[in-house]
Amino acid sequence: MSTAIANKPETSAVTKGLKTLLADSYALMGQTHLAHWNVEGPAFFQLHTAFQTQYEELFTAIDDIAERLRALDVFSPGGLQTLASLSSISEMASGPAPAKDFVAHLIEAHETLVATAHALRESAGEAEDLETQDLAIGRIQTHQKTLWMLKSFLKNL
Amino acid sequence: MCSVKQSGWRADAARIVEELFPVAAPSYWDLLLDLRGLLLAGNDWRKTLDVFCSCRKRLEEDHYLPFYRLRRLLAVSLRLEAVNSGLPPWSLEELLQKRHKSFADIEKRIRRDCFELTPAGNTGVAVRVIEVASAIGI
Repeated sequence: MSTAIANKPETSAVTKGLKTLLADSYALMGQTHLAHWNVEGPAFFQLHTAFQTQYEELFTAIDDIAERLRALDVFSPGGLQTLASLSSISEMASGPAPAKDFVAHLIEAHETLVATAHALRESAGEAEDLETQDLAIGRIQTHQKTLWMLKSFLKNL
Repeated sequence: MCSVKQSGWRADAARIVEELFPVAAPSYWDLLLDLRGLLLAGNDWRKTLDVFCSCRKRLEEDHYLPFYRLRRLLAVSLRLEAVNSGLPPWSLEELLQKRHKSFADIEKRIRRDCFELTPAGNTGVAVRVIEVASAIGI
């Protein structure tokens, strides 16, 4: 199958999907950073380190998503206000919270990212844009893996 | 039990409770049925929060995520008000971060706040639960 790039990249479903994925990923990175800073309790060292691994992975992914937009000849959105307006990820208050609440909050955010990446995978498939579809599939795999890890942490065995 | 077909925050909350049935011990099903029914069609928010606290006390340790989701839905959908206290409504987000055993326990905490925050130190105020209209469709 050949790879096609939409004729009107600025308004295509693929472009919109990439922008949403970028904004949601940026928001999740911010929330993971917040959790890394503010988590407290007996699991502090475990979670502090795990959250750092996660936001570093997201930082790299965000660059890939933005550069995919540029490869499609579309300018990438940026800046906290712009990205926040494009994202549906909710924010956690910056006060004290149980460590498990940070994990549960991030689970909900990763679930949103899986849904966003699924939508992008579908629109990229319809547009025969295999490179974007590959990127979306990679993001789904990463978020699903992180969900498994975070949900495992919440289990009470 | 039929799965919820309605939409809105009440239906979302009831669906979360439904997900607990296959994983919770049968001895908790009556309590979960009560909570589901109250969330879907109840009009007594004090009782709903009371049953929520009961379920949470018994099940949250093994099922943290569904109770976190329920807390979030309740926190954006309901507010607590100390009648005639002159104080702004209480957000449930912070109140539900603590593991209150019952609605009476939540009420006690609000009355204590009233005692500390109002010049008269009113400890006998009535506490009212208000549904926030804008929460529909979250």
